[in-house]
Amino acid sequence: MNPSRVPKEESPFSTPDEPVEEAASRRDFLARAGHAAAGLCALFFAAGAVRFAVPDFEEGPPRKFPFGRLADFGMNTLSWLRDRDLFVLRTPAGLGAFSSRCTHLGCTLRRTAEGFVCPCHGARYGALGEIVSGPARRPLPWYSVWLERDGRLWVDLGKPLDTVGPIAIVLPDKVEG
Amino acid sequence: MNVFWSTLLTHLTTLPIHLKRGLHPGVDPETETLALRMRRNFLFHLHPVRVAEHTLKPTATFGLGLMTLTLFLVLALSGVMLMVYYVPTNREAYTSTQDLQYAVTFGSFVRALHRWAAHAMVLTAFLHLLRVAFCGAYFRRELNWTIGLNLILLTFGLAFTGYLLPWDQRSFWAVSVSTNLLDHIPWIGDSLKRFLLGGREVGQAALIRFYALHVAILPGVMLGLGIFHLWRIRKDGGLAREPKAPEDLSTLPAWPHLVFREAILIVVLVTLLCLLATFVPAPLGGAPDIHNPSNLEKTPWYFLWLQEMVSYSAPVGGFIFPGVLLMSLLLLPFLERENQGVGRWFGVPGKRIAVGVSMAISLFFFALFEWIFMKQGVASWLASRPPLVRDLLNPATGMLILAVIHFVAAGILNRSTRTAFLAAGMVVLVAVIGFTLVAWCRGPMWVFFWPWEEWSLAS
Repeated sequence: MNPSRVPKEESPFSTPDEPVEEAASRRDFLARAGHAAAGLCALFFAAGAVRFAVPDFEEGPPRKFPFGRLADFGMNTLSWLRDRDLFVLRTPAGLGAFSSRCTHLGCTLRRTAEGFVCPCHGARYGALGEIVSGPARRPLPWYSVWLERDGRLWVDLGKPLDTVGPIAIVLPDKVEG
Repeated sequence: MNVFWSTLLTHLTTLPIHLKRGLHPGVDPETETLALRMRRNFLFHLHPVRVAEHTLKPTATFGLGLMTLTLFLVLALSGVMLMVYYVPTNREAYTSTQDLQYAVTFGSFVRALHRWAAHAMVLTAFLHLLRVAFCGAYFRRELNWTIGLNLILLTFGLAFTGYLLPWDQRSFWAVSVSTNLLDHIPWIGDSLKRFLLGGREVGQAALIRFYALHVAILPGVMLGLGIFHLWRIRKDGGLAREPKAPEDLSTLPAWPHLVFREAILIVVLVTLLCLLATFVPAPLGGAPDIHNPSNLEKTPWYFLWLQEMVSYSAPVGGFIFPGVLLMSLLLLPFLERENQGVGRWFGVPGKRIAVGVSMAISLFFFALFEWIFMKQGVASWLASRPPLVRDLLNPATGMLILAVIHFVAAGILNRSTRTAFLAAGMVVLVAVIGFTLVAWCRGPMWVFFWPWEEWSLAS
């Protein structure tokens, strides 16, 4: 056969009686749709992976717990509940619990004659956790404290108070022990 | 004899020849040229056949990219070895590190090697970034510059996640303090921190997350991006240089001129690492006390500049300053497109004076800012101002404003974007190194002591 008479190879995507531009735009559209579908799939997988890594439950002790009895805390003394990062202060006005962690970057505070100081970046607080100087911007939070019928004091770290300083502890009607 | 046996016998008798040829595909000593060899050999094909002569000068690049790559490989190898003994649980992380340090044969060496290589990699990656920035070598290499920035962030991420794994007092508190920084991001900070730590505090969930990031996720991404980074160097036409007529460039064959230099650098680097690892073991503190930091918790040295700035103000030091820095670096190759002095330190000679002036001025202002803000009176005056003033008035903001002033002034005076970026970059560099040194001098309660002074809290 004469090689010149062999018909030119035709693209599988276009036929001669079809305008070329239309075929190109259809191909474009399909390509874009393919890319979009692939991108969407990737996006869904990425979103799923991120959601997968978001913690659904938390370890560690509960945020609401009993921390002792009134008798455990002497008048006008500051106690440190080491394991729960809490200071407990009892005065004639009442009893209160506030955080022993710096509000700047969370280091445990040291006591000084005037109040507290953070060993990490030198933030200083007064005796009631008010800011004196340094990088901390929030005073130490005080938490809701109450007395249960069995005589145990409870604190809820999920409930910071708006007030600063010990609060009067309301005795329940009947305290056992 | 069956044809099967005769065929097998022939192949057995010719086994040595086939072993030689089959395991060295494409090698023909008769016809092989230098160029063919460079393309055929797996390790050599990373290199071009010929390289521009001036790029071989040690001062052109200081071999920092190659050093970073070498350190990555050393880290991968030693890291996999450490994985054989290390247990990522909060009960066993510390004790298994103790085992590595004190009981396992060569354990202390491998651990020290990993640590030294990690510190060295942070340093070489940082210097590599400085080299490329100060040489203007990002010219028409926007993609590779961007990949490189991602790689250095990954390096920091790997160094940081690895810092937690020994689970001693120092590593626990350094990571606690650093991740608490996230609390200061408005709106999303809290969720971001819980996402990273798997809880409110650094604990078992955080340890296993950091471990997964450190041994799989981050190195995997880094390997992929690193290969891409190397490939782009070839695609972008080798090391950056001024666009010149090809005949002006004298080139040398990469073998042996480039390959030998690289081999020597690798050998020297690995030898130094081994010596360091042998004679200076990696430290291991006491078991972590999660309720009580030691009275001086410093982040790893490469984050000291951040810690120093954060000690003035968490939002400025933790986010605004590094955020502006990162954004500027990302935009650098897109905003600075001058084609003069490409691949040359500090650009065109006539304009270098601006960089020196910027350095001198920023050194002066850095010392001034630090002096002012270390005065006791200033601290107590600041304490009684509103929070916004307290956050904004500090040396970090000062240096940032100084950098902006230098950017505008140097740019206008020299009519050059390159000089503007160089001048601003110099101010930032002085700030970063300065803050690092000041933080390094800090003693208990974050009080500043000169290196020759004794740490005492009497004052």
